[in-house]
Amino acid sequence: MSLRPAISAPLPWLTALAGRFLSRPAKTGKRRSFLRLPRILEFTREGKWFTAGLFVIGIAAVNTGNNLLYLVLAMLLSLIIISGIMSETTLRHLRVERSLPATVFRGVPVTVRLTVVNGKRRLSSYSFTVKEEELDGLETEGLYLLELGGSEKVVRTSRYTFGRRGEHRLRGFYVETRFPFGLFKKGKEEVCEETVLVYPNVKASTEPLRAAGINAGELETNRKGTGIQLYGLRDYTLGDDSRYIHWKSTARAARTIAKEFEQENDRTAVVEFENLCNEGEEKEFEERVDEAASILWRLMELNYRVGLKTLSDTIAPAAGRDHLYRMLHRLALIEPAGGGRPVVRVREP
Amino acid sequence: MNLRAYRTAVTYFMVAVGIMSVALVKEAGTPVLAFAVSGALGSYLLNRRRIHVLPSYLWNILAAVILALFALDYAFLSGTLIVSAARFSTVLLVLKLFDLRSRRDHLLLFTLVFFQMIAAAASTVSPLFFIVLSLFIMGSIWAMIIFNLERDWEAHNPSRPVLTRPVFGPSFALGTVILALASIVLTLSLFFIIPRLGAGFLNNDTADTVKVLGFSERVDLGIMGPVKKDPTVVMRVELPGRSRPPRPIYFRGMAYDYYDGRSWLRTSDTRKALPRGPEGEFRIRERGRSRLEQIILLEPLDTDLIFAASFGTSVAADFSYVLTDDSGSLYLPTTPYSRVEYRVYSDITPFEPVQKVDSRTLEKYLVPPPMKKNTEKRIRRLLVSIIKGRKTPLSRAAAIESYLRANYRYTLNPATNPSKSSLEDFLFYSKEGYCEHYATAMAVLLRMAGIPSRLVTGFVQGLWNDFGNYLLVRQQDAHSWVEAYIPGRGWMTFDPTPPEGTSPPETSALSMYLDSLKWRWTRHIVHYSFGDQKELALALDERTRRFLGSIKRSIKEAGRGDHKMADPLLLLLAALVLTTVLAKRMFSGRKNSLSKTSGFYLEMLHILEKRGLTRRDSETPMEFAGRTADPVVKKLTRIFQLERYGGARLGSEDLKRIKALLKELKETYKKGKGSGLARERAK
Repeated sequence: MSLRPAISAPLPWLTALAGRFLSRPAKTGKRRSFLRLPRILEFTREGKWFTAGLFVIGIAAVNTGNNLLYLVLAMLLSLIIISGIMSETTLRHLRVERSLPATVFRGVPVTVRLTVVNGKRRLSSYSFTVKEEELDGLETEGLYLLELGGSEKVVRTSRYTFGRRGEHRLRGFYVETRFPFGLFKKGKEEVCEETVLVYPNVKASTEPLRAAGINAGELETNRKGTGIQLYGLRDYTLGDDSRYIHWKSTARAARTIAKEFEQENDRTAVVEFENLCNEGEEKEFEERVDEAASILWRLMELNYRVGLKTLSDTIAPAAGRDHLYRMLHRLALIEPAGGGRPVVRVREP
Repeated sequence: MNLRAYRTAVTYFMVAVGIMSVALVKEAGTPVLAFAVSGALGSYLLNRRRIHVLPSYLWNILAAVILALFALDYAFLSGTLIVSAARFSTVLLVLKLFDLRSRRDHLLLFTLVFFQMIAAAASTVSPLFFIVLSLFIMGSIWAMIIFNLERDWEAHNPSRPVLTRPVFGPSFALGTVILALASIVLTLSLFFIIPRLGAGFLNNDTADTVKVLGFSERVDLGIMGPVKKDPTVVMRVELPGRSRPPRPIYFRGMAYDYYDGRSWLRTSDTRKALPRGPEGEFRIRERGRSRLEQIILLEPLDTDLIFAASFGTSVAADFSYVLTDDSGSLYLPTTPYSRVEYRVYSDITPFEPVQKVDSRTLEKYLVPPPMKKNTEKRIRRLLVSIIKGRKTPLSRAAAIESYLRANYRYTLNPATNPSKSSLEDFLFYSKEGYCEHYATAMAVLLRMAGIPSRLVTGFVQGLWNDFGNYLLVRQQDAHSWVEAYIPGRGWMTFDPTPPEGTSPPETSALSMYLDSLKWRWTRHIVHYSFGDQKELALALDERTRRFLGSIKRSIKEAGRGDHKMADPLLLLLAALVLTTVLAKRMFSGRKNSLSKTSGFYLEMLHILEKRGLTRRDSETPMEFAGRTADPVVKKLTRIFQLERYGGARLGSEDLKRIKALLKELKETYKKGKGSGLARERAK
C-alpha cells in the first residue's frame, strides 16, 4: 500500500496553516524570548482525570476497533480543542494597566487602580484572574472578573505592599483562566512595564527623634508659640486671640489693634547618615535607613529646614515638600558605602 | 434564571441522557429503566424542596452493597460486563440523585452518566447513539461551564459564596448551543481522522439477528407467504458509480435440487473454499461483460449465507475465506451474528457464464417429484400443450415461463385445497399463488420436459432509496425463481412470477429518508475502517490536486485574457477569503477601520513596540516622542502631526524622507545601540 497520498493530501493545507502561524507578526511591546511559550498551560485535577479517561477510551477503542468508542474518543478530543479555543478567546486582547499612587513607602500597603480592557469588539471574556507578576518583596492581591463584555473596561483596586525600598521594575501581569471547563489552567503574560520607586518606611512617631537626641515635646511648644519677635501691628479681627491685643495702641487709635509675630521657621537641622554596613547586617542597615527617613519626615513636619548628609553626598538644608522627597529618593536608593556600623545623627548647626 | 435552577436543569438533563444511554443497552432490561425514570422523577420533587432523604454516609454503604450485587449480577445473571456495569451505574445514579449536596456529588453524577454512555457505545450500533452523544456533548459543555464558573467565583469571593449575577442569560444558552454544535462537527471530523489501527472488522454488534426464511436446508412450500409482508431490513446494497438499476437485480441466495412434493431440499452439502485472486479477492468464476459492483451491508442474519446479484464473479472482503457449493451459493466460515459488509462483483446477464458441467452432476436436476400417476399424466398433457411447436430447450423454457406468467393469478393468500398436492392445486384448481408456487411449477415442468432445473431463493431488487442511492432490501423482497440449464449456454435465470409479485410497494419519502440516515450511519460510522480512511485520503489527495490544477489553469487562462466562467471551487475560495477578512474586521476590536492615523506613524509605533516602547493611552504623540528621547522619532512625529492635524499634504519629497527616517530607526534598534529604552532606563 502506498502511503504517499495519505501524506501528500493534507500537505498544502498544513503548509498554509503553518504559514499562518509562523508569519504572525509580534503584537504589542512584548519582548518575548523565543524559548518562552505565548501561553502557559497547566492541568487541573479534573483535567488530569479527563486526560486519563481519554487514554483509557483510546486504548479501548484501538483494542476493540469499535467505532462508537472512537466516536466517544473524538468527542473527548474535541472538547479539549473547544476548551483551548474558548480559553484563548477569553485571554485574547485583554489588556491590563495599573496606576500607582505618586508615593510608595516600604511596607505600607497602597491601593493600586487596575484597569482591565477587553479589546475584543464583541466577545466577552469570562472568569479570569489578573495578578501582578511576581517580584521579589512585592505582595499583591489578585483580581477576579466573572465577565468582561466586548469593548468593555473595568477599573478595580488592588492592594500592593512593597517589602523592599528602592527601584522596582514591574514587568506586567499574569492573566489566568480556567474557563470554560476547568480542565486546564491557561495563562498569559500581559506586559505592562513600569518602574516604581519605593521610599523607605517612614514611621510617624517621635521615637526616632528622641533617639537622635531631639526633644520633640519642646519643639512642639515652640511651634505653637510661633516665635517671640514682634512683626507688626494690625487691626484686630474676629477670631484673634484676645491675649494678643496691644492695649497701648488700642487706646491710642481708639480701635482694637492686635500684635503679630514673626514665623519661627529658620530652625535648621542636618540628618547625618553614615551609610556603612557590615556583612550579614543588612537588616540593621535597612532599619537605619528607615530611621533616617522618619527623622527627615518628622523634622519637616516641625517646620525645620532639613539637610541630608551621607558618606556619598550631601544635600543642603532647605524647606518644602519637593526637597523632602528629593532626600527620601536619595535614601530609597542608598547603598552601603563601606563596612561598619550605620549611624544616624541629627545635628543642629 | 438563577444558578440553582440552572444547576438542577443541567443535572436532570444529564440524567436523562444517562437513562437514554442505558436504554440503548438492550439487555439492561426494562425494570432497570423504569426504576431509573421513576427514581429521577421522585428525586426531582425532593431536590426542588431541598430535602435530602439519604444521609451521606449511607450512600457509601449502599454503593458498596450495590457493587456486590453488580458482581453477582455479572456472575450469574447477565454474564456481560457491559450490561452489568450499565445496570450498576444506573442504580448508583438514582441513589446519588437523592444525595445531591456538594459539587462533588454532581461531578460524580456526570461521571456515572459518562460511563453509561460508554456502555451504550460498547453495546449498540443504533444511530440513536449519535443523538445521545450529541445531547451528552451539549449537556456536558453546559454543566462544565456552569460548575467551573461557580467554583471560580467561590474561590475568589469567599464572602459571597452564591453567584447571583445573571451571567447565564439567553445569550449564554445560545453560546452553549453554538459551542455544542461546533464540538459535534469537530467530533465527526476527528472521528474520521483518528488513525484506525485495527482491521476494523471486529465489532461487537449485539443487535437482534433477523430470522430469514427460505435459506435453510429445506424450504417448505408456502412459508414465504407471511414473509412477503415483513418490512424488516435484510440488507442494503450500494451500487458504486450507478444510479437506479434499469431492471430488477436478483440477489441469489440458495439453490435447491430436489422437490419431494411438499418441500424443496438440498441433497448434497459439500462446500469448498473459493480460490483467491491476485488482489486478494475470492474468485467465483470468470468475469463476463456486464460487470456490476455492489457493496452489500448485511444485517445480522441467522444464516452463514451471503448474497450476490446473480451471477457473482468475485467477492472482496475481510473474511478469512469464503465457501461455495456445487449450486453456486456463497457461505461465510461461520454465522457472524453481526452486520457484515462486503463487496461483490457480478455479471448480471441472465446466463451464468459457461462453466464445464458434466452430465452426471446434471442428473439430479432432472429428477421429477414423486406424484400420483394421473396427476403426472395431467401435468404432462399441460406441458405438451405449452411447448407445442417449440424445439429448443431455450424456447421451451421461455414458453413455460410466459405461460405461467399469463395464466395464473398472483396472490399472497391463495385458496388451498388440502386434498390435493400443492402443485396440482396451483396448476389446475386454485390457479393462484405466489413466487414459490410459480417457481416450483416451472421447475417441475422443466424437469418433465427434460431440461435440468433448480429452484433458487434470494431477494429481488428491493426499494431504491434516492436519498442515499442504495437499494433497500427487506424480508418482503424475498423471492424464489428458477434456473434452467440450457445446453451450450449454461444455467439461465427464469422468473415465472408475474411482475406484480416482484414490484415493491411504494413507501413514504420520510421513511426512506430515515432509512438512508440509518444506512449512512452504519456504513460510514459503525463500519468505518482503515480501508475507508485510505479511500478518504486518496479522494482528498485527488481533490486537492484537481483544485490546485484548476487554480493553475485559471491563472494561465487569465493570463491569456480568456474570460471564461470561473471555476466554482475558485469562487468558493474567494468567498471564503472574503468572509474571513470580513469576520476578522468584525471581531477584531483593536484595529479601527476608520483610523486616520498615517501608516508611517503606525509603522514607527510598531518598530518601537518591538523594542518595548509602547505609547501609553494618556500620552500625546509629542510626549511619547519626548519619552523616547530619539531625534528620529521626534522628526517623524512632527511630520505626522503636520499631516494629521495641520492639514499638510505630503509630497514625494516628504515620503522619501519618511522612508529614510523609518529605515534609520529600524537600523538603530536592530543593532540595539542607542535604544530609546536604554536611554530611558539610564535616566
